[in-house]
Amino acid sequence: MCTINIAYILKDSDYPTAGAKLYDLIIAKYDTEDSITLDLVDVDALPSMFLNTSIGKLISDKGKMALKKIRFSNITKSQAERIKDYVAKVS
Amino acid sequence: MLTLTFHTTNKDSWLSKIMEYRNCIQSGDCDAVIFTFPGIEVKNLKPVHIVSLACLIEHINRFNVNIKVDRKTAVGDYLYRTLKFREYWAGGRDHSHIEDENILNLWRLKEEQKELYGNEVANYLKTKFKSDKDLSAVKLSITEAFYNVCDHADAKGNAFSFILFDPDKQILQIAVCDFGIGIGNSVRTILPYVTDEEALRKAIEPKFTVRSKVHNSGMGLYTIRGSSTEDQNMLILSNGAFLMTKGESIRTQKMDFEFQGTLVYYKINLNHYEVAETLDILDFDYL
Repeated sequence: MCTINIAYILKDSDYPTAGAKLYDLIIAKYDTEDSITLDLVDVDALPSMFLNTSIGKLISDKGKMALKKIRFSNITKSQAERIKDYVAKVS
Repeated sequence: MLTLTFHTTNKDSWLSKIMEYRNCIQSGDCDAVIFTFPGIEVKNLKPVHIVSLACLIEHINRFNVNIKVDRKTAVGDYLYRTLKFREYWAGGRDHSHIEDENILNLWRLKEEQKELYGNEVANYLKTKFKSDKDLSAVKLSITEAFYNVCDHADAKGNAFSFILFDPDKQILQIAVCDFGIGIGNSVRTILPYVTDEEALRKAIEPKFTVRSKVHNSGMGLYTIRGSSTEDQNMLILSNGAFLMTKGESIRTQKMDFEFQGTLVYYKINLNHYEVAETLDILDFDYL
């Protein structure tokens, strides 16, 4: 199991770039880890251009079942609703 | 000197005038213009009026035309003194902070600042409300709107945003306007035969995208619509049509003038937002 701090990724990048970095990190761990936790502490908004280049690309490349390895921690209720809606719409 | 007169804040009339004056000034033939607003009360001036006027001024300013506002009219004085319009064009500023805490003043939308503004909005809300409500949807919608302009509008820097807060009703009114190619023209790059009305309907569909940039997937306007609370309208006006949503209903209509650009206007009722609640974990076992 590994944890990726999303606030750290977002710190010095625009949203599309940060999303692409996150995708690369997920892919690097995907085959060796049982689960990958995305820690949303100190993250407020999750715009579509961040989700498109990270979670959206993962779904596009590996199918939505690939998300079964992904977990979000420190996630707000509104972020959870947003991610669920996003996954439902792009899948 | 050419006088550009606005007699009413009726949205159609105002925006039609904006376009009439835009088309009237297409070169540096005219050396000076004065904006005047006889009979208009400041209280009737909404974000839609401010952002569209800002785009018109920016358009005219690019022809090196000397621009004045008639400060004898209440609106002229308000634009000059309260909203500090002069600082944007004579002073070259992208944003001027003002004392009225119910206004997040005009913001010039620049590619390199599109995320900065979302942070500014988040800070404004945090400072103003000091509440524990989860207002992240506001920042989210603004960020989506700004990316939308930067990615699709080809506005060449002529785009502005303005936010007005109504403390009695707890409603944020948000307007973003650009003088770019318009949604209809953008959609027709991939669907050549759609009308402006059809293009607006396509544009708010989730997953519909003209894919101007690799990170686009057609969720931007859909997300903004989702942020606009159920009891409030969202208006998108672009090229020859407008689209209005309220809750689940969507209405489009052809206009009798061509708006050369895009105007997005929506309201967010802060009463609808709940106290921020953090969950331990979200997983996808349900898939």
